[in-house]
Amino acid sequence: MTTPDEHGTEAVVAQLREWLRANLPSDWRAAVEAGDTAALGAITSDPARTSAWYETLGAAGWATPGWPTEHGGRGATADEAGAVADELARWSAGRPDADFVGLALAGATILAWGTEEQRQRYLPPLARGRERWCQLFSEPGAGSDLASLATRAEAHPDGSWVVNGQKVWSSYAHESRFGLLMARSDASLPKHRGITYFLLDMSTPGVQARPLRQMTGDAEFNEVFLDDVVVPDSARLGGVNEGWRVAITTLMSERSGLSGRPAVGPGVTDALVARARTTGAWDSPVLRDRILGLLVEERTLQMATLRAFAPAMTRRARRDRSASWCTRS
Amino acid sequence: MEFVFSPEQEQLRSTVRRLLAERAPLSRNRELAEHGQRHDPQVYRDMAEQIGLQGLALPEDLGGSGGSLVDLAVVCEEQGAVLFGGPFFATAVLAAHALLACADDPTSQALLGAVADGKTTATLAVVETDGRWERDGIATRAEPLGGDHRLSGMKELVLDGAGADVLLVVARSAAGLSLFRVDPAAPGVQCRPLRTLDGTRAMARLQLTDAPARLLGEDGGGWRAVERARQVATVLLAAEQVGGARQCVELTAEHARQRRQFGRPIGSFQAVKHRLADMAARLELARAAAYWAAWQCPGTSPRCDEAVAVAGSYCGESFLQTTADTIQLHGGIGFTWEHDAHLYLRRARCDLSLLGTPQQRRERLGELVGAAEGSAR
Ligand SMILES: Cc1cc2nc3c(=O)[nH]c(=O)nc-3n(C[C@H](O)[C@H](O)[C@H](O)COP(=O)(O)OP(=O)(O)OC[C@H]3O[C@@H](n4cnc5c(N)ncnc54)[C@H](O)[C@@H]3O)c2cc1C
Repeated sequence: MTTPDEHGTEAVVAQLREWLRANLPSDWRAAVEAGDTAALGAITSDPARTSAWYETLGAAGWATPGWPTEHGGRGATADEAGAVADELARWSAGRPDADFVGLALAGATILAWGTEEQRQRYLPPLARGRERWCQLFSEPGAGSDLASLATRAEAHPDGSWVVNGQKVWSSYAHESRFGLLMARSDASLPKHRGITYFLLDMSTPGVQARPLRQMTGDAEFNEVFLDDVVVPDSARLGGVNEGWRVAITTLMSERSGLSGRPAVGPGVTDALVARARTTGAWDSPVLRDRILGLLVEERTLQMATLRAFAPAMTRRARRDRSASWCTRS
Repeated sequence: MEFVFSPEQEQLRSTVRRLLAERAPLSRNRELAEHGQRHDPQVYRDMAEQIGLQGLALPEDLGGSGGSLVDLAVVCEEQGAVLFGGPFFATAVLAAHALLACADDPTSQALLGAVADGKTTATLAVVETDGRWERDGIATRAEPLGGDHRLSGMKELVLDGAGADVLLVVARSAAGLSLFRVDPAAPGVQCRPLRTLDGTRAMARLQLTDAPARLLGEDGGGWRAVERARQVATVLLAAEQVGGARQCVELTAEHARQRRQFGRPIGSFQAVKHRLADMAARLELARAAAYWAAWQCPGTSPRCDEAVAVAGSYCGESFLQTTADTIQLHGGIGFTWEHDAHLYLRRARCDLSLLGTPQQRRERLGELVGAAEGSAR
């Protein structure tokens, strides 16, 4: 058996650290090193600062380490990419969660299915943080049963498509430049076969995103209405009526992307233990046991993630080709 | 008496349910919470004047109608189902039962009468920075001054603290922990509303700086009143949680019947059915635990203590699990602000810190069981 260190993530992390020493603005670095959350917050919430940083990060390939070098990545393995993300998070220097759909889903799907022209058009701005992406899959009537989606794409004689329908729960659609869109192009075919996949320009007339408030009070997801939206055929990803296969690439990336970065990340429970020691909660056997239970969960989750990731690339490639169904929840 | 509801109790339940449905449905309670309003005073008054809910479980000679805690639990269950906020729980449960523990005192008697009438709202301020309902956690001091006292200290998580007409405060005098009456308008009293996870329940932080106070009951006898109030409140909180969980089960079962995926209602999928069945089973266990405890209470017997510890431990945590399942089974809709699911989750989570934690209840249970075994030997 091998562990991530044996996969050589140390070398990549060392490279990244060196690069950060040379490139991360000095006040940014100082704020992180001093643990000055107020100063760091001021820097990372300044759009001028962050967009400049994302340009630098993206140009060096560190925003998309897993992409091939010819498309602006660094050809890193999944383990290495994970280690890069962790290291960037340590410096609060990675891309925000809102870019997850772009970096993890759109990137992987366009790399797998895009024409050379599409890769040239969409990938560089994505890597540099200039364009945000959203995922227009779920509909009011199609959630777990995604393949029952009802948004229609009709082919026009001039080769373009006209899209009508409604999407829902589309995270960050109101701030997105592009959307990964699934639409029914042939209603006469069985439900998994009549779907086509598009890279929708969200500024097209007829596209309207209405934010929905989440239970946290924030409005991150949206309803998206599509009324007679004209989509050029050049925005089609994969073959006509082959959208389900394309979507499987997106969904598998989503699955491994979400599970690859545990919400309770490395060190969070350790911090909880430290806090419990200072508050005195640690003296209570009951609380100590509960906290240690969380620690065990965190560790097993990390181990399971490592295990899932090591051979994931090969397994995923196999699955992409064979999967003909998928349920999401 | 049997462990079933009497026809009068069923009658009471439907009366309360009707009043709440008409005057304080969940939609209304949510609206009040979102606008930072504590409650609708007219509904509160009508509860007292039309049905006598505030005095339901108070003795007749003190202006109540001499009902049992099971009666009051029925009321609290219905209130919990619609996340009714406002001063009812703080006044008619916490404060009233602290006052009953010192009912020899004429001031207490007068206050209980005013509580039963629905004219006065009150609350009980016990815990401090550590949030624990333990004697050694009380640092607020009472210094004698003339015939009265002056209190200084800080109280946390005071239920309905910023709006109550009367504050009952536990403080340490030379004789020990004692119960005092404090007028919120008096100098040296500052009550700031707290923003908590659960907007449907008002909480406050109370700062006392040489605040004038009047002793209630026996000097040094205040902790007995706290224990009595906490016992009763634990049981009635459990009843509220039964109501909340009941509503979650109903909401979710209805959603599972209506929502279709893969050409069928999602309730026809076994994974959904099992989760729902677990929710329903938890509800039945919680209901039994809460009403058993209400039936044994108030009291000082080990059997009563044990029933309270079981209800306090089970009902809160099982309610929280049920609210989480409710969100999960609703899919995307369950994650929205508009949907009610998160309101129940918020309530359930805050309840766990309201009267001490479920862990503390289990510790107590362990002591009780240990003591019983020791005496049997
Ligand atoms: C925070 C958030 C962000 C999201 N962001 C996006 C986004 O950016 N883009 C996008 O396209 N979508 C997004 N979604 C939507 C998400 O993919 C759907 O919520 C999900 O597919 C479930 O669909 P649904 O909400 O319609 O629930 P339903 O499919 O109605 O499911 C309801 C419940 O039934 C269960 N269930 C359904 N079918 C079965 C079955 N056959 N067997 C057992 N159980 C079943 C589910 O597990 C769930 O508990 C987001 C959702 C959330 C909550």
